[in-house]
Amino acid sequence: MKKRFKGIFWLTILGLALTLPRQVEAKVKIVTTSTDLASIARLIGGDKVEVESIIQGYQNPHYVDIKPSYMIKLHKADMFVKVGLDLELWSPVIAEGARNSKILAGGPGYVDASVGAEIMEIPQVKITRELGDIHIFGNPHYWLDPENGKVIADNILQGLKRIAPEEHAYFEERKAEFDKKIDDLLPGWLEKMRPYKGTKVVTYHNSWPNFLNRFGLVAVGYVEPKPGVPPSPAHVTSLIDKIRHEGVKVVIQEPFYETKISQFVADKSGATLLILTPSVLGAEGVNDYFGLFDFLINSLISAFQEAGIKPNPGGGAPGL
Amino acid sequence: MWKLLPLFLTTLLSFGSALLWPYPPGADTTLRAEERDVDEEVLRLRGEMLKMRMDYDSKLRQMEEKLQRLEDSGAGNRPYVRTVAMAPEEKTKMEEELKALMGEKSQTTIPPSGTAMPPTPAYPHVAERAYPGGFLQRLRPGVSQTYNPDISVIGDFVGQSYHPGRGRGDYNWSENRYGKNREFADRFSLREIELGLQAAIDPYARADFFLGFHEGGVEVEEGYMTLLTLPKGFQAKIGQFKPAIGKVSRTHRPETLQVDYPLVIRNLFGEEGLRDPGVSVSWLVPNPWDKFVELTGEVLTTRGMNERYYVTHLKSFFDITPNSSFEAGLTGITGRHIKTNFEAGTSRLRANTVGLDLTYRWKPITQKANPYKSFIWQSETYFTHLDNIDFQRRDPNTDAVLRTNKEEDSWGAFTSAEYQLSRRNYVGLRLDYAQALSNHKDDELAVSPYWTFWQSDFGRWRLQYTHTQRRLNSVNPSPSSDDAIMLQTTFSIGAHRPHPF
Repeated sequence: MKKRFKGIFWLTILGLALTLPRQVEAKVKIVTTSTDLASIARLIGGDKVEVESIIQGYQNPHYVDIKPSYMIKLHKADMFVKVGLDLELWSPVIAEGARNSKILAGGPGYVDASVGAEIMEIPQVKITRELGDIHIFGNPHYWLDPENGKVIADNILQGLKRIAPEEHAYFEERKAEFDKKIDDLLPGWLEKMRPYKGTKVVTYHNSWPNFLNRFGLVAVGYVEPKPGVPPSPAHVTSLIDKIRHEGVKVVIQEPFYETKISQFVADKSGATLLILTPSVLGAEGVNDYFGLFDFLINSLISAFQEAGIKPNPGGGAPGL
Repeated sequence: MWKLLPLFLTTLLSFGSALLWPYPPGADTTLRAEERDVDEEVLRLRGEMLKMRMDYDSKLRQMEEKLQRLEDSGAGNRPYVRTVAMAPEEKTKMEEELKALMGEKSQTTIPPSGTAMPPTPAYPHVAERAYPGGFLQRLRPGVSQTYNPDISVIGDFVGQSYHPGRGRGDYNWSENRYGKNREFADRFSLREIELGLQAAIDPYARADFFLGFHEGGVEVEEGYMTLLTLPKGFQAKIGQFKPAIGKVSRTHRPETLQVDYPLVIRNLFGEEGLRDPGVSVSWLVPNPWDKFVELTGEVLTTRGMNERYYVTHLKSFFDITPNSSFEAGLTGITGRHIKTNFEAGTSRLRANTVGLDLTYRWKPITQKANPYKSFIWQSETYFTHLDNIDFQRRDPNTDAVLRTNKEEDSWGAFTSAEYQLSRRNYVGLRLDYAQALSNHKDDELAVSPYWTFWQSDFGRWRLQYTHTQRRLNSVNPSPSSDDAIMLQTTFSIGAHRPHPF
């Protein structure tokens, strides 16, 4: 009898011990909209953070259904990082539905990654929807320039320092490592692309200006007549004509748009259609922010080679 | 030189007399006593100042030493310092203190200048001090246009061709809905212009206003404030809004999947659904599966009547796969909420209603599938128990007023499915069934296939055909039917916030 009591006593103690809150070092929970931001957040936060992105790498960031399950993700988040510049028009609704004042605009955990980044195509004239889906704050695909990656990382760092000031030195050190890695890798990437400097391309949507600008490529046209407006027959035929005249050999398109029109354009103009993800995890092997540029540059160079563009070792416009 | 002596003496004397003049005889002793006092005071102050300065110097030295020690310990050279976070107890204590401080009454007197302030000043409420007076003064005239709210305008144009079929039943329903001069008469109409004004009020709340311009005039569709920063997963809405009934009735009519609301919604809550002033509190229910479960409770005033009704809604949402999701909701309503014209002079009837709404959605986001395909299935059903109500209606044959006084149970449901064919084209079908509120033996059945074409995200065209069959057993045993073809064009300008689904 006594033994049984003892057993019950110890079991109770054990049960109580299990229910006690365990002293686990809490990680900073970061939710980002895109996988690119998630990758940079992981690189800066290291093992002190838990990162999740709302959209997948192969998804179109412009159109995202406002699912209540995203609100649950944000409900528990310490930090919410977004691309900004009105790319994610869907994000405020999710953030407000999350009932988490930390991550609302102006809260300590709210990070707009675009602050301070080099933004291209900021409209200088009055914008109306006649011009298509123009982003009034400039082209939001700015993460495709590695130099802007540093700015994004800095915005994330500032956010982390607000959320977990006690770890600031750890984050700062990782940020310095991130910057150094970009500084180490960027000259290599530029060197690889140098022989193709000035190469003309056509893209489906106008989502590559930062990338093209950094690596010296030129977009001479877009498959979409205006941003966000599906191609019309008249536009497509004139584009094909332009491609023929300008000697464009490569048409670039993101994986989340229909390929049939771009394929038609490529077929009729003798160009190659290259499906290129603008985001981390958008294609196999693109596992982080650095890997994204490796992938983009390698894919472009092999596409250029296949299309018969002869590299010009000295830089400048390559021959055909 | 000596010639100047008298001048000198005269000057001296005159100055001396001038100095002594204001003082009455014997004043010099008082003056001296005062001077002594002043001297003593000066000395005392000087001593105090010296003491303060010494204190200050020693404190400064201590701090400098501390700093030196820190620097010497080589903290700056270590790879990284993990500074100690504020202890939770200290944080809680500090927060308590601050709360008490902020809860204190505003400071009413300001001490005379020169008085040393105590180290713990009371925090006056900023807005109250800076902007006395009414609400308008606080809006600070002249703030930048950037603070203007997001403004959107949606135009909803409907053209309808109505064909009464065999044995048209002259029943209140159909008369109200399809009769001449009614909304759905045989004509074109700019059914509604919806003006939306939306913005954050302050860091704690946002405001949403929707004004509906109809042919009859302007009406407040919605106008409410949402409190966004309540703790523990709560959120509250105050103002006039669409109550949390099911899913479809909460969507503004220009934004629904079909041209009109389903029959059951129109029979119970009117052509445009309910919208009333009230208070809504919703709570994100914590659960071990980390799923979205939301419980909403609302109290609303029946507009035009000094009555209330209560709404509760439980919503749950699950992601089945990354591409598909399922949502289920339960609604309970009690009080005067049934919108009807059955009873002369009464716009709402007292009833108890329960509802179930189910939504399945498939939208591929994987790389392999075509991104311009999607599917949505939506169904709702409502059961209503009407209390003892005096129903009045006109007999179509004799024109006599028929009155019935009874309780009545009725139900209705709809189910709709929509499939996206391509980037811009969608086709769908809705099936409707609804029993008459006054007599459950009377019912309507409708089928509505439709086609939607999006010219862009801001312009939409829709063609819908609706065949309705009515069995009006209480009036006329033979069934009646009618057909309608509707063309809807919806166009929007401005910045309209996307809606959650």
